[in-house]
Amino acid sequence: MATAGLNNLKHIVVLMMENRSFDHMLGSLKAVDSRINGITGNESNLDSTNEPAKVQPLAEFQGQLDPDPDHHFTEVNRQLYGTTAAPAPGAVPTMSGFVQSYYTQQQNVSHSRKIMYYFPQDKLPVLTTLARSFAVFNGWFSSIPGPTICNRAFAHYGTSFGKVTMDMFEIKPPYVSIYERLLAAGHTTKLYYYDTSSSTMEVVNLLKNQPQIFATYQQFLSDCDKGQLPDYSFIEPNYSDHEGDGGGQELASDQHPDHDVQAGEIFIASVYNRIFQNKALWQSTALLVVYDEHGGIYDHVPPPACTPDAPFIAPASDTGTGATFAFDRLGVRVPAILISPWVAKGTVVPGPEDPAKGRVFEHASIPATVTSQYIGAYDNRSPREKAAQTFLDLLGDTARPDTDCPVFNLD
Amino acid sequence: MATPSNPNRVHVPKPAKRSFNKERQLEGNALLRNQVNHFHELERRLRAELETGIQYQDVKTEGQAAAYIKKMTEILHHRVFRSAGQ
Repeated sequence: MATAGLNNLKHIVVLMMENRSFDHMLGSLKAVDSRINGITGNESNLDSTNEPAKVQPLAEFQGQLDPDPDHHFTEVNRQLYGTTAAPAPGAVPTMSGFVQSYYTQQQNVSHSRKIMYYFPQDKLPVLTTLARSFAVFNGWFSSIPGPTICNRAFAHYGTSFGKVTMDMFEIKPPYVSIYERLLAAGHTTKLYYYDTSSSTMEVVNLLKNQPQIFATYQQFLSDCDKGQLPDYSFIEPNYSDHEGDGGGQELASDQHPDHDVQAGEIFIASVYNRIFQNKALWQSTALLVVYDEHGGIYDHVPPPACTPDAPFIAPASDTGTGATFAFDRLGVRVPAILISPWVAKGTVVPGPEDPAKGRVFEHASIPATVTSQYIGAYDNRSPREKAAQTFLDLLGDTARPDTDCPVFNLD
Repeated sequence: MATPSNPNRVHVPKPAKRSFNKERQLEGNALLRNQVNHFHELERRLRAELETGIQYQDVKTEGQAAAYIKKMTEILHHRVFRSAGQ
């Protein structure tokens, strides 16, 4: 039987940020809530001189992760297994090669150790407050141990069509995007990019063919105020520092290194505040804040195996590890928070650390959840999406009062 | 974090003004470089219809990338609305 929260649900909103690992952003929370699978402070990797580099709460908003840490498939393999050679079947990642991977970019031992840095709780008031106020996932993983575009594809299509790289130029039948599925079923949906100067990462397959499903972030704000938000919304942050249409400065808010993490905090807060301020909308919306992949930054939890995405197999020429990849294991863990007044305060969704009750989510969980909520039975989905966990069961029967929910002061 | 007067009101600090840098080189941001590459691939495929007037090889900074991406995005929107007779 559906809960009251599910019965009230009219809108699902997903905000996907860029390139930060769970431990980097939320690992500090273990110190204040032992259920959150963050870091103890003793985790380490060996650097290129074989000295241990421990995690430290020294992450800065900007300037530390320049150049952009490599997170293409080959280097993520090194981060997970300590080598760029393909792992033996079933091998458990050691999470031991992050520092040595970053070292390859500048051959600077001191700089390479910064890949282990994480933010103390008080430096990220928005993300950590939301994580402790609503539901934080201990086991949400990127879909592929690789870069942005193929990972984001799992959020849009439930598959990357065999790609582990950034050059994803074609979709393959019978699979279509969640947006096309919803429109065909008579539902409403929008993909909100920040502005036309930032645009979307879904350039070739969606913007080229279906620009009518896109709108700007200003439109999102207006839709919130007017109560005209579609059934499903996907929000993209600002990907670049650029001049705004009115001549002001638009600061990148995606949190992709080396963009300012505080600008992303403000962006997340602005999305939350706008929904929260319209009380009818707040009561009927579930907001998921999630990151596309780890960006080469350390996390301590080994990504688990998963259902292979048959028939897709990435060729060895794309993986760079000397072996093909069957999409049968996940990428590095990322922050994910489900926000709704119907979510019990302080919910921690257990992950792989809990063999009995742990649940594993990945980006295919997004179209799986949206399809389940709005369409129901739908067969033309990838094996990965069919196997993906959905997350709306976290909406309960009791709506929390507004006085029990945070408000972010952005003035 | 939460203020004493209202335990649920959380102050969010602003980024430093020096954070803004539209001259930041694209080579330091693989994502943005790739986004430009995707738009360029699209421009190449649709060359008969698209004319940005921007040389792809000249796009080297975030500010330049934003200008190119803005132009391409506007062209793609216009292209579809035009074909739909809107």
